[in-house]
Amino acid sequence: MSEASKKVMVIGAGPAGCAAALAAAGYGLDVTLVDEHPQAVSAMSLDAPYFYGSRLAPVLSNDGEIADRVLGANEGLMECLDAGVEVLVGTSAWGVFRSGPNSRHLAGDQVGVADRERSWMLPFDYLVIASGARDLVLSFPGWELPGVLGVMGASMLLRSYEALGGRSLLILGSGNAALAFARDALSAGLTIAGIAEPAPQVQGDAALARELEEAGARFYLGHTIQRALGEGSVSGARLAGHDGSDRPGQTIDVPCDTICLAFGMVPNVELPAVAGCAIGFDPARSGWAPMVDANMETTLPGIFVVGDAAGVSEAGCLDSAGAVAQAHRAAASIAMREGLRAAPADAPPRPTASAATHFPPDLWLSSLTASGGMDVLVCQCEEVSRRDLVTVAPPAYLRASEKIAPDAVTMLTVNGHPSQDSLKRLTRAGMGHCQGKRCREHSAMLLARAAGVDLADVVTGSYRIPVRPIPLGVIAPADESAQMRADWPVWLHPVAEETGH
Amino acid sequence: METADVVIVGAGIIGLSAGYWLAKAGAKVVVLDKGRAAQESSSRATGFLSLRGEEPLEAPLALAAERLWNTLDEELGYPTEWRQKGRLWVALGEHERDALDEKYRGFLNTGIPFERIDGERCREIAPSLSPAVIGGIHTPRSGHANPQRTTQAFAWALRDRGGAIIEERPVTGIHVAGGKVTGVATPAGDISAGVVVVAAGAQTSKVAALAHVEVPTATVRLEACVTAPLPPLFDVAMVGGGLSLRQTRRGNIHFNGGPHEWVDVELTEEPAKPNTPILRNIARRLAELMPGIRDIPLLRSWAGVLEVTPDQMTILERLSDPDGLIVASCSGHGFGMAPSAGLAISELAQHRRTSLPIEALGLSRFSTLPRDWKARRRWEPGRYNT
Repeated sequence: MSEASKKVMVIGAGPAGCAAALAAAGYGLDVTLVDEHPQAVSAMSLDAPYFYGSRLAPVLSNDGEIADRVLGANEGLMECLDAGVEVLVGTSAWGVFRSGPNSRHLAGDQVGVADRERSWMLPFDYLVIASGARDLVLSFPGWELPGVLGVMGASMLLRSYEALGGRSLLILGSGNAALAFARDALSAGLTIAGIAEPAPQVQGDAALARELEEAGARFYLGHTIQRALGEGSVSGARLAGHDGSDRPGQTIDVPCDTICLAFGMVPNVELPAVAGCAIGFDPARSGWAPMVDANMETTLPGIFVVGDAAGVSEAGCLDSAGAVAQAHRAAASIAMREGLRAAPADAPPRPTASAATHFPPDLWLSSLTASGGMDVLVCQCEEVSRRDLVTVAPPAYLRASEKIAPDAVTMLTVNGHPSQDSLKRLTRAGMGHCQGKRCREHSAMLLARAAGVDLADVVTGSYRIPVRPIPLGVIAPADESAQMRADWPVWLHPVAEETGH
Repeated sequence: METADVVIVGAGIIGLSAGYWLAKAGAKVVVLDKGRAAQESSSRATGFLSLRGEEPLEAPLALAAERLWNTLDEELGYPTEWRQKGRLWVALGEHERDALDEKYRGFLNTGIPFERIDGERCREIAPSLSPAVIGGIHTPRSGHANPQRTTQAFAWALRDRGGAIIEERPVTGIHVAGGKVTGVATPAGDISAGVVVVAAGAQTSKVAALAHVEVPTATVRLEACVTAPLPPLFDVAMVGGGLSLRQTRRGNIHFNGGPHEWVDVELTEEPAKPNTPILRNIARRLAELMPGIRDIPLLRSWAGVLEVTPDQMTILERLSDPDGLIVASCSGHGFGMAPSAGLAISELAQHRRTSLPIEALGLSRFSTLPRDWKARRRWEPGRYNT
C-alpha cells in the first residue's frame, strides 16, 4: 500500500460493513474495520446495541470461547482479514469528530473508539458507517422480566454468540425479521411457542410463513400480548384477541421461556447524527435515517452510511444483497475520488425507496395500550410509564412534590412540533444507561399521539457522545500530555489587569 | 399589533425569572426566544449558586438570590431540585493547594463562613474523593439545583400567572422613538412595549446592538458531561481537579470544565455546539478526582455556548438612552443568581429602580475598555483555550 493512500474507516462488520471494507481494500485503499463484537458481558448488560434483556447464557463468561464463536460466525470478517484490512474487533466506535463551525481545533477528522481496557482516536479521510439496526421496542406488563428481549438481540445471541438462554420462544410480530429469526431458531433446535400478530394477516413473506407453519409454528393472528407471565423470569405470555377496538378480546396463555419483540427495526443513526450528518424522517427506511445520495454519501462529504444503518426494509431482512450493493457504491465512489477507479459505479436503483416497511408499528402500540393500559413502563432505566410520559410527570424521585403543569405536552409543542428532548429532560425517559435504545420510538409515538401531530412532526431527541456508555477510566486518555494537565483551565484565565478592577 | 408592558428577549433562566416576577406583579409580559426555551447557556449550566464572596460587585446580588432559592419551590409551585448543602473547593496536589490558599485569602473579608480544611476533612464531606486531595475550603452555605427543571419551573409558573412565552420567534429589531423604546420587530410581526429586556445570553451583544447599544461580551463554547447514576456520594457543590461537579438527585454526576473555544454567534440562528475529544480529558479529571468511580460509565456529553463580559461580572442596568431598555448578562454564571437578577429586572421594568443591590453592575464600568479588548486577550472566534 502506498504511503499516500487515504485512510478509510469502516464501522460495523455486518454484511454491508464487510463488503465496503473488502471493496475499498480491493481498490488499494488503506482500510480499518471496527466492530464492537464480541462485546464484554458488562456492555451487553447495558442493552446496547441490542435489547438483550438478561437472556445471556452462562457460556458468556468464557471470553476466549465467545471470541472464537463470534469471529468464526462472520465469514465476511475473515475475508477482510485475508484481504489485508486492519480489523479491530471487540472495539466500539463511540463518537465521530469533524472540524467545523465552533470546533476548529481538531487535528483532522477522527473516530473515538474503545475496547474493554482503553480508548483512542482513529483519524480518517473517509468514513463508512455500517452500524446496522436495532429493535424498535414497545412495552407491556412484565416486559422487564429476564427472558423478554428484542429479536435482533436474540438473533445475535443465537447465531453469533451461540448463547441464547432460552428453549421455547414466543415471537411478537410477523414481519420478515420475525419469520427469519423463527426459521433460524427452529433449525437450531429451539421451539417456537407461537408468533403473535395483531393484524388479521401475516406481515412478512408468505412462503416463509407457510414453511414455518408446516414446521409446527403456530400463528396467533389478531392477537396482542396482554402481559408476560412469570416470577423472576418468563414462564409464559398471556395473549389477548385484538379487533382494532379499545376492548381486549379473549385471552389465551401460551407457555414459553422467552419472548422476542419483533415490532420493527430502526436504523442505528447515532454516529451519523453526532457527526452532524442530516437525518430525515422516512417511513420507507423505517424511521429517522441519514440523508444520502445515490452513492450513500451523507450531507457531510466523505462520510457514507450503508446497509441497515441507512434504512431498514422488509426486503433487507431476508437478503443482504441490497446492503452489499450500497457498500460497493460507497467504496467505488471513494475509489473514483482517489483516482483508483475510472468509471462511476453502475447506476443503481435508489436504495430501498420502494420497499415495504412496518414503520411505525401503530397497530402494535394501539393494541398494547388497549390491553396493557397506560401504567406500563416506557423507560425501564428511569421508570417512566406511558402515563408519566404523556402527562409530563416529574420523575419518581420527585413524586413527593408531584405537581404537573396543565396541558404540559402542548407547552412542549412549538409551531406543531413537540420536542422529545424537552420531554426527556422533564420525565427522564431515555436518560438512563441504555441511552434511550429501548424507549426512543415508543416515547416519540406516544408524544405524537398526545400532541395530536404526525410522528414526522416530532423533533426527536438529540444523540449524545459517547453513543455507547464507556467507563470513565476507559474513555479517559491514558496518554494525556503533561502539558494538557498543567494548562488545564478551571475557568477563564485571570484578566484583572486589563479591566481596571 | 401585539402589545405588552414588557418584552423580554431570551427565554433562558434570566429571562424566564424576570418574566415570572413581572407576571406575578400583574404586568403583561411576553418572553421571546429565537429557538426553544433554555437551550443555550441555560442548558450548559452546572446548576450552582455561587455566593461570589470574593467579588464585591456581585456578592450582594448572589446573597439576595440565596434567600430566594431557599423558598423557590414553594414560590413557583414546581420542583427545582434545589438543595442547600454547602460548597467545597478541593486541591488535588500542591499546585492546586497554592491556588486554593490564594482563593481563601480572598474569602477572609466576606461575611460568609468559609473554613480552610485538610484533606481528611474533605473526604469526610465527600468520601469518594481521592487520597491525593490535600486540602479544601468549605462553606455550609450555597447549593445547587437542576438547571433543566428550574428553567421549566420558572416557565410553567410564569404561564400560570398569565405571562406568555413564544418560542422560535427571534427578535430582528428594537424600535426606538424619541429616545424611548417602543417595541420589537420579529419575522412574525412587531410587538409594542415600553420596556424591552435583553437577556439573550450569547446573543446579548447582537440584540442590544439593534438598539445601538454596545454590550461588551465574548462568546465561548464549553463542554459538559454526566455519568450513569450512582448511589449518593456527595451533596455539596464541588470545585476541584479542574472541574465543577455536583451529584444530581437522581444520582448522576454532572461535571464540566477544561479547555474552551471562543466562537461567534448569529443573531437569530442556533449556534453549532459540537463536542470534541476533550471530553475524554474531562472524564479523566473526574476519574483522578474520584478514582473509586472509574468503572462507572460516562453516559452523555454536550456543549453549550455562553457569553463572558470583560471583567467576568454581571451586567444589569436599565438604560436611559434609549429609555426603557434593560440589559442583563450574568457572564455565563447566571444560573445561581437568576432568582434575584430576575426580580431586579422586574422591579426596574416596573418602577425604573430596584431595591436589589445592582449599583455596581452598570455598563459605565467599561467606558475605558479598549475597542480591541477581545483581540488583546485572544478571546476572538477561533481561538482556543486562552
